[in-house]
Amino acid sequence: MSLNKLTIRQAARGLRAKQFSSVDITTACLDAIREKNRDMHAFLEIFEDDALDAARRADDMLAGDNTLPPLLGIPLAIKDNILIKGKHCTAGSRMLKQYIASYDATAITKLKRQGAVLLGKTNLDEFAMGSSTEHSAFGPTKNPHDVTRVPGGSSGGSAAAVAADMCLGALGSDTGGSIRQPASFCGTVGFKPTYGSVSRHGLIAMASSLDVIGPMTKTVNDARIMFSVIMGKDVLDSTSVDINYLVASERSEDDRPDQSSALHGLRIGLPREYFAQGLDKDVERAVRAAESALTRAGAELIDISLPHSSYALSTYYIIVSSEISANMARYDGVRYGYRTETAQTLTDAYMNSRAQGLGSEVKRRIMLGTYALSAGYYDAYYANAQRVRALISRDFEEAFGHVDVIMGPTTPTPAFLLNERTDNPLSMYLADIYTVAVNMAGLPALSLPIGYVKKKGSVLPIGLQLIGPKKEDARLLSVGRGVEAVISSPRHPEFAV
Amino acid sequence: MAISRRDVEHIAQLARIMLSEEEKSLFEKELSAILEFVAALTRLDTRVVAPMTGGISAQNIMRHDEKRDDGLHDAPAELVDAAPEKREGWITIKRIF
Repeated sequence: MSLNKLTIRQAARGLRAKQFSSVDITTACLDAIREKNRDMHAFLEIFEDDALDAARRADDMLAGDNTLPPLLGIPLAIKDNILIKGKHCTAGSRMLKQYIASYDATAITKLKRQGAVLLGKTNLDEFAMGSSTEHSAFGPTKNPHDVTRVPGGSSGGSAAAVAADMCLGALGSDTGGSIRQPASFCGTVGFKPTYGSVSRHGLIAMASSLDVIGPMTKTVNDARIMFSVIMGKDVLDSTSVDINYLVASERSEDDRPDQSSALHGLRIGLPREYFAQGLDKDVERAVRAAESALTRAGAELIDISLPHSSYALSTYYIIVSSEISANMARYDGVRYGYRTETAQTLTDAYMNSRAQGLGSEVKRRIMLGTYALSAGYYDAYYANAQRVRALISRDFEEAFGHVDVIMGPTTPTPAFLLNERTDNPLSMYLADIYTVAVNMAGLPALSLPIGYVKKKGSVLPIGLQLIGPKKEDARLLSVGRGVEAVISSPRHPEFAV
Repeated sequence: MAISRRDVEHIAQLARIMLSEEEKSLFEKELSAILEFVAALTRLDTRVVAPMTGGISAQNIMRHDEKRDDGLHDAPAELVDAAPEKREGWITIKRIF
């Protein structure tokens, strides 16, 4: 097996057993990137020399010691809205095409401290606004399962890079589904942690009350390993929180022989609103098959209701656009990024720099948010949406009074075709219908692959979403490993039955 | 709820974005469609609900007023460096009038 196809766990074991070196794995990933990136366009920038230097350093350390951090020497890809000091950080925008980060994001500091190998920066919808990666100013990423389809978004580059074995794992960010939805479309694992459990310091802001960084990996265990490294309260992010995560139990967790024992007696809630109109029949069939497998493993499936689900997408788009209009005000052509050549006065410089530097979806959301926050409309839109957000959050709290986790499809359909939804913003927004409510409530949620469906000759992956109570990330990941053990879905469609 | 071309122009002015005539027509249509979609919210009675104003229950975060090593002490010069136009450690801008 090629080394780039390893999981993080397998690679860490092999490195310690001296079966291969970090330079070997890193070279295998760089070869895979060279071979596939022209078609896939998952990476915007590749750090070949830096990556090999980091791999050599890791190998030197591994030569002496076997009790080393789990991500030492592991080649990873980073979404291009997360700052790495001295490297470009474009956020997929013309506005930041030339911008070079002057500091490391806290998540990056933690990865570097582990000795992880950073391979390069991955493509995304501009400023993470989108569900298909088609809103990148540098062109779309393609789905590795079918290059005529989107990889999902906004972390589409990271999802495609993991799915196509161009790296062993990746970082993404999730504001309304941007980790889980592309993970679902590309057949990888994507974990959106509890809001605040991973520092936002050095993540280019989109909607600050919703944004969170999280791992995208080949297995749930790998997501757990990456999350255990990047999580934690940070003095540089006042909204960061400590969560219930016992590092001491890590080893026993990792080596437990039967992961499915986590499912025994587990109460799984199925929100009836997530199986209503708009859900693709094949996706529904795959989720129902997963339900049967989980019942056989000893889980109890319970019908529940999240009564305000139908309001989630509307609430989300008001809140997200309002926060975006405030956060994007910083791109004024003065302090960083693109500055127009065609302006006489300061106001013209603002207006032209933003007109020329920002893409259509970003402008659309700034316009909507500015409207929702403007005099005369604030109460009807933004203030009201904050109240509905409280109701949506309360729905989950009530549900977790009688179930341990909530389960449903991650997305209503498998990956759609390139250009299929770009002309209709509302149809694009519907791709996130099952994921946005989780962000508004600040909960942890996981998408993991459960099988494939055939669509017009393509074999496309389907994702299952598991949602946990706030700060119960460790428990949710443990349940995720159980589900993964019971529903083993091969990662590559050529292996599909 | 539909919004007019004048509304679009007003919002664009507030948001400091120069729009082409084509963009104005497009946003008039698209924003009206989105506002119609989100109008569902106004049908909910939320008068007794306290708003959720952030991702966590906000509290003041206090610390001692002392220097800390956050690795950012060289950042100011580098931040100025990131500006598109600068002179002698200052960011330059266009005239205001």
